[in-house]
Amino acid sequence: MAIEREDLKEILAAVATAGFDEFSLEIGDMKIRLTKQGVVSAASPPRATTVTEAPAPLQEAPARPSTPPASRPAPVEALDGLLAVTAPLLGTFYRAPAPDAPPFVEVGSVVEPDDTVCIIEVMKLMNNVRAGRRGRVARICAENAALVEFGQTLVLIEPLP
Amino acid sequence: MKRVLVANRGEIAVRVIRACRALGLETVAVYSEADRGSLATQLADRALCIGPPRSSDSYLRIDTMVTAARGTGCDAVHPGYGFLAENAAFAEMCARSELTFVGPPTQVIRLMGDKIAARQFAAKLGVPVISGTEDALHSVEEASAVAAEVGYPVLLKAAAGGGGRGMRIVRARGELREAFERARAEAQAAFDDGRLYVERFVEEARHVEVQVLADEHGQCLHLGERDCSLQRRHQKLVEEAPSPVLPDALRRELLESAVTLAREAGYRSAGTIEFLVEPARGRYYFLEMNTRIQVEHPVTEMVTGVDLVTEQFRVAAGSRLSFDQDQVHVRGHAIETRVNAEAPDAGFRPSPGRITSWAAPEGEGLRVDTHCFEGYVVPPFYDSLLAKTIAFGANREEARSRLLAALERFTVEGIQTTIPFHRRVLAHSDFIESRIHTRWIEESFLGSGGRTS
Repeated sequence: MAIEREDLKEILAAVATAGFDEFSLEIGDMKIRLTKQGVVSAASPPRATTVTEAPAPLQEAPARPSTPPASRPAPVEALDGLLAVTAPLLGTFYRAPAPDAPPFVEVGSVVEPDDTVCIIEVMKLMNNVRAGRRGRVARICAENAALVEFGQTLVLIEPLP
Repeated sequence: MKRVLVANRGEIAVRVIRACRALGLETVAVYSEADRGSLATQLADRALCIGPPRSSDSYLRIDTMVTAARGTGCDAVHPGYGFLAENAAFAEMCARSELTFVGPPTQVIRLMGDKIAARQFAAKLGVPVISGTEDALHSVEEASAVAAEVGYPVLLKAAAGGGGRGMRIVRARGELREAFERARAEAQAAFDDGRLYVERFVEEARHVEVQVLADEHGQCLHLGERDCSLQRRHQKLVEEAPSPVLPDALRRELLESAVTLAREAGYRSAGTIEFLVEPARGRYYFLEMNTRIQVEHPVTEMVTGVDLVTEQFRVAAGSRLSFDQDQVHVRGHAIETRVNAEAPDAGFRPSPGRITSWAAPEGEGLRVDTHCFEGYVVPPFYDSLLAKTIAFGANREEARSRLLAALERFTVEGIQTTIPFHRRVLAHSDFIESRIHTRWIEESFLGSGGRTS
């Protein structure tokens, strides 16, 4: 898919506010690699998140910044023991019931099986997505207002007894 | 127009993506969980999973399709055939969402989708229709009265019809009541519309259809006809262009009727007008219009040199057709066979599964449209079409022998296919001499030595 100047601007803006230190994008033959100033790749360089067309590759946790912004999900060290809440249908992912409302859950929130963790909007129709199990939110895997595919992992939950 | 959502699967999704590439359009493929890794998803610039295998939860979901198109920045949607291709509500929703629907205007889809309304429309224009009811039947008694008037056998058909569902041949008055109830129940279940109508049943008929193409600047033309008389249970198996049995005078009338119908309906895009031809009487009758690209469109492309899918995009973008009627020339002959994942020796039972070996024929005058490859798993959820094998020749015999030779070296392992069945049909003297009709497969071929071994 060819990238237009406008697309590139949007990508840059998104990266600038997302709190990534390093970002790389590969679409076909085109590769973009961005690194923020001041971040030094030391002995263990932060791993870049590869943006692909497939559902978010969960094994590749975003690079850990030195001071993670509060809104940003904490990196997940391993998937072991975490349960995925997946998109029941393709649509737009929303973390809150309204633009100015607080999100349904944050990382660390304890949820009950029937608690709504997010909304998938399909043509103005809001579909609540429930946690499905009791647990603690370990990671939120999709960007607010982004298009998510059917079956894409939205939230990872650490089960609690 | 810059980016197209391909709202379909299988070989037609691949066909549309290839046309987009040739036009420099970006593509977004959609797939159900059963189609993960399909050829269309590999070829498209981007692919999105839209739902579980069941069509009603994926490929038939209007809201999902439109959301996928909008969410990926598409400005056009190509519906292919089947699924949402003739769904007026989908076309309307696309328009309302500022997406160009690559197809005809919504009102034409709606008009032609109602087979009774379409029949009335044709009759009003003086296009011949088979004698029968003007309106939907209200009762068995009404059906009985019409049947007595037009004479048995008669054919009961669904107003919302298609694919032979809700269709019943009635040979005598005593069979009418049961056939009526069954057809109504079938139509109700398949289309959520139990309305029926009745027509005289034409024996030993040929199915001949006309490819039309129209733009929004008043140009409406035909690209000749296709003969799709080789059917099994109303499903086309072999299609060819031109028809080997149409006398020139009849052909001219038929083509003219088709263009009149499309023009008066306000058609735009590629469409097909289906007729029944009764060679014994030298007559033809309007059956229905399909407001989409057809499975068998390649035979027309082979004999006219026109890329129909490309033209669909041009017209949808508001351009004029790049040629006029005088520039359309039918040259040579083309025959297509549909290779399906079915076991011809077991009543054409579906045969899904993993293709362990796939070697499609290549050669001069050959074209194979397919989404299959070695290792591909044919899912059990959708239609059984694997590939369309099309041969072109300077004349019918050259096309036929080329196709037969191609099918002899077409090898598929792991699943059963209709290839051996097609080899027998193409080698049969009735086919060679074009002495076939729409029920020839069931009444003659399968009943006699035609059974594949």
